This record gives sequence, structure tokens and C-alpha cells, in this order.
Amino acid sequence: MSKNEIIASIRRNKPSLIELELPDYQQFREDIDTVSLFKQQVNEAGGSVIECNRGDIEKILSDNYQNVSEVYSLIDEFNPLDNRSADDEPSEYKNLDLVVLNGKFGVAENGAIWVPDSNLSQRIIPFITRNLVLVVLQMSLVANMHDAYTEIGKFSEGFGVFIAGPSKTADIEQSLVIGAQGPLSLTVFLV
Amino acid sequence: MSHPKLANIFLKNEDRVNWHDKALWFVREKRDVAVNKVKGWEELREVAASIKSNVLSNLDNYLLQFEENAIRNGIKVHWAMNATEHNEIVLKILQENGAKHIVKSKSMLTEECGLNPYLEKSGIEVIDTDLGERIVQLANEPPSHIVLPAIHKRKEEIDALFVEKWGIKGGNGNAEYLTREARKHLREKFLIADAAITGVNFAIAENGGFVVCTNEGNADMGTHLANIHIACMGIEKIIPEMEHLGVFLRLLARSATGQPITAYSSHFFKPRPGTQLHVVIVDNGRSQLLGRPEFRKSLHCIRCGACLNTCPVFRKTGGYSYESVIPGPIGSILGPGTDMEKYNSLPFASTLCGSCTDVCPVKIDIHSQLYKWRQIISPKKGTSIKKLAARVTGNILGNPKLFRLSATIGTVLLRYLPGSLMKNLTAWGKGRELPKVPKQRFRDWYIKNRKE
Repeated sequence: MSKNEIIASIRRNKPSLIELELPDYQQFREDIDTVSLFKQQVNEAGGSVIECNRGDIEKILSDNYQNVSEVYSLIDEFNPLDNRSADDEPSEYKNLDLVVLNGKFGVAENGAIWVPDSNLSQRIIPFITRNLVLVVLQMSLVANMHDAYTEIGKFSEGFGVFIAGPSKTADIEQSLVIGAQGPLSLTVFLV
Repeated sequence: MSHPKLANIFLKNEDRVNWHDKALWFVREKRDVAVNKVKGWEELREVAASIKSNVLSNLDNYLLQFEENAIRNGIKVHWAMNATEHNEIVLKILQENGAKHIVKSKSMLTEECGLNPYLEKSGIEVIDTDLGERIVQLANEPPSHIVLPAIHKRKEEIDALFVEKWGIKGGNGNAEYLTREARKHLREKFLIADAAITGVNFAIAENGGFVVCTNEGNADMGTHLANIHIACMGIEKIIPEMEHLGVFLRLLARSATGQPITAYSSHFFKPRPGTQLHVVIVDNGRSQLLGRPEFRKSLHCIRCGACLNTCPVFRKTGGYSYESVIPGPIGSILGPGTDMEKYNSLPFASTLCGSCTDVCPVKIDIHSQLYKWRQIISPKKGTSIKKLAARVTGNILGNPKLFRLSATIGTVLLRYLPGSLMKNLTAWGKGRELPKVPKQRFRDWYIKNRKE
């Protein structure tokens, strides 16, 4: 069997054990303002940030997205009419204009937001929609990716994704185009 | 063909060469800006390199640990000794499920294995969904860069390609228009796909999960719509623990494109309910490379492409001059390890300036390895002319009378023979200027001034 062959070949060829050192993540700690850095990084990634209170979310969404026909929300504050269920085929979501989700936490150094299975009803929804809104708690922000994985800890879900900005590409002559195969826009509600 | 011969073809179009050079240098500069913002970047590289060293020294156990955890999570794990076996495994999964339409996100491993042509031979449609990869696939070309697959193409060429293949209206090379057209085209493919194939950026031994990074969202559009996900990984993609992702995700995108992180870093642990998730672990020569202490470190590579962007030879000669699946400095040390005969010119496609080593996020000693490959290849290549030249030069330099005589002959030749003739005598002369002949030689000046 190839598995045994590969393992045997590695055992024949590998060097003697080099111990795994415990990395000192403290040395990467910086004195930063996580909120302002996070906002700056989301903007640089092509997204936008709206700072508001939880109570204002519904009004802002209704004002900003008047011409959208298919909307899907998984936050308590905003409940547009939608009959879809988690059992639907993922392709049922193909015409979504707007999806609103809770992010678990945000990362200041790169504007990334952690969205695990438990914040999703279907894995496809933050990718297939034209516009994505993520709600992130200001107090959830961490400084860098080392802190981010401390925050995630022992992960026992099936899927999770860091989302930093809308989808993008620069594959045509290095000119940046926002909106590739995923969403065309990302708005972060920082509450 | 050798690197110099292929480079000559690329160099024929001077405008393209200059554009290619500038475009990649621009990416290198973006990398510098991003890197300089990180406190302790050098220490971060050290940490990454030490994790990778540990991984290589304990690779068998980490792979077994990964497999055990992945199986517990409902992932089906397959092992392939070589490219052929990898392709057979993928085809078998697809055929058993009657899958005909496949969407694929970027994976250098499947390029290495020649997966696409293999599947197409069996009547399976494979659509590359990264925009750059789709462009080169439509043009029936391989990627010319591991992160920017279509960097050798100008926007007008891409415009013409889309018009020809999709029958769309031309957009005068407008990147936004062309990207939107590609989005429409790819949407249709995502929605009908039976299976999605992805690469793997990092696989985590302690919990059996793996991470796939994209900017376009194409890996996620594929995997969350199709009912089968096949992820293909080289054995060296393993990292011990989840927390090590913090180190590598900080390094990867900054080194690749100057972004602090890619738009999507997707962590897969379990299949979506009611669907299949397969991981194919591929050796294909890697465990042999592990047995060569002087070249072992090349297995640290996380495929960021930073060494390509910074390399003066790559920027000026393009990815196709290398002929290997992975071009540039890293490809020039990986290539000869897999087929020394075929890739024997690649370690010489370098100025040994060491810039590749300086930018490498996992501290591979690329330029030292290039030099070491030269020491292995040179004695085997027919280099008797070089040896003869060195011996003659040695004799001349060791004999003052002979030296003075040849210096006189050289001066006369330089003064009276046409430069074009002289310059074409050796490869070194081509594209370089000859020195101006001084009115007076140093020796004459010295004798004269000492006497006064």
C-alpha cells in the first residue's frame, strides 16, 4: 500500500528529531489601537466600516439597501421575510443580493473576521451573495493572528473562515478589481 | 530546451519584458511595505523556519496523526506515491460518483501531476476557477507564475481571448469589465459542478483540518456548492498545531502580494452534512528529497512566489523560460531534484545575488542551494572548454612574460577588431559592452612615473 511505502520512505530519509520549540508570541505584541487599526485594515481590504449601536442596525440596513430583492439575515435585529431553510440545496441561494451575519471576532492587524459554521446556516451564503454585511462587536477585536488562534482555541466545528474584505482579483495586468467570484462588497457593522 | 534558449524567445519582445519586469517589481515593493509594518518580521520568519524543521524531522508521525484525526472527522484520506497514482485516485472518486463537471481552484500540486489533461481524457470537464488560471486554461497554456498565473499576458490579449472563447463583446482590455464577464461565466460552472477540487495551503496534524487561501472566493464557491470536495496536498504541507497557522497566515499573503491576509482563509474540518470530503496525500519524490540534507530545506516552501517576484532573472525572462511546473528560484532548486537531466540549466538561471533567500518567509537558503546544484551538475555537463580556458588563464597569469605578451595582443585586438566580432565570441560578450582601450597601459605609466 502506498501509505506504508510513503511512511517507510520518510522514516528512511528524515533527519533526526528537531524539537518543536514553543514560539514566544509575546515578542510580536504591539501597542496598538485595535479599533482604529481594524477599521483601517477593513478599508484597505476594500470593505467599509459603519460604527453604530446594535439598535440602529435595522434602520441603517433598510436605508442603505432599498433596491435589493433577495435578503437573508441571521442576526436577531434584522428579520427580512425569507422561507429558506438549512436543508435547502446551496444553489437555492444563487440570487441573494444581501446577506447579514454575525462575525465571531475581528483581527486588527489585517481586518479579518472569523465566521465559523455556528454563525452560518449554510456554508455557501457569505460567498454566493452579492453584498455581505458582517456584524462585529468592538470588544471582540484582537490584535493579531496569534491572539486570533488563542481566541478560537480548541475548534470542534466543521468549517470556519477568516473573511478580509470583499472578493477581489488582480489577475489581469495587476489591476485590482473588487468583486471576483464571491461578494462584490463587504460592510462591517462595528457595534 | 535550456533556460537561455527559452529566455531568448521571451526577450524578443522588449516591451513585454520591460512590462513584466516592472509589474513583478511592483509586487515586490508592495511586499516590502507590508513586511515593514510587522513588528518582529525576522523573528516571525525564524519561528516559521523552526516549525518547518521540526515538521520535516517528524513528518511520518504528523501525517499519521493528521490522517487519524481527519478520519475521525469524517474525511476520507488517500495516499499517492506518485503523480499517476494521484490522478487515478481522483478519477476513481469522480467516476464512482458519476461526476462529470469539475471546478478546480488553484493547486500547483495538480499542475505537477498533470491532473487536468488526465481527467479530460476520460471525458470529464475540468474548469479552473481562479481568474488567472482560467485565462491560461482558455489559452491552452500552463501558468507562468505560481501566484499570478497570467502575469505574462497583456490585457488586450485577454480581451481577445474572452471574445474568441465566450463570444462576448470586447471591452478594450478594461480589467473590471473582463473580470465581471469571467464572474458570469464561472457562476454557471459553479452552479452545475458535481465536484470541486482544491489544493491545500496548510494541513493541521493535531486536529485533521486543513486551510485553503484565496482572494477570489473561488475555492469556497466550488466546495460549498458541489457535493464532493477533493483536496490534494503534498506531504510537506503539514503543520503540527492549529496555533501555528497564526505564524504562517501572517507570512503567506504579505510575502505573496503584500496583503496582510488573503480575502478568504477557509478552514475545513468536516464534510458539509450529506456530502463527501476527500484528502489525497501525495509524495511524488518529496520523501526522496527529504533524504538529501543539502536540499532538504526546499521542502519548507509555502508557495508564496516572493522569490519569483524579486529575482532579476525571473523578472526579465518570464516563467516559461524555466519549463518546470514551479518556475523561478525555488523552481530552480526543486526542478533538478526531480529530474536533473531535464532541468540542468535552471541552477544557472541566477545571478546568485541572494535576494530570493532574503525574502523567503520560511528561510530556505535558495541561492546557496542553487550554487550547490551547480557543483553537482557542472562536472557532469560537458564543461571541458571551461576547464581548458581556466587552465590556459592560470598559465598566463602565472607567467609574467606570457602575461605581458597576451596583454599586448589583447590591447591590439580590442583596438583594431570590430566590436561586433569580439562580442559574439562568447556568451558573456552578447549584450555587454567591451571596455574602452586606454591610451596608456598601467605598466607603462608605472615604469615612467617611478623613473621620474
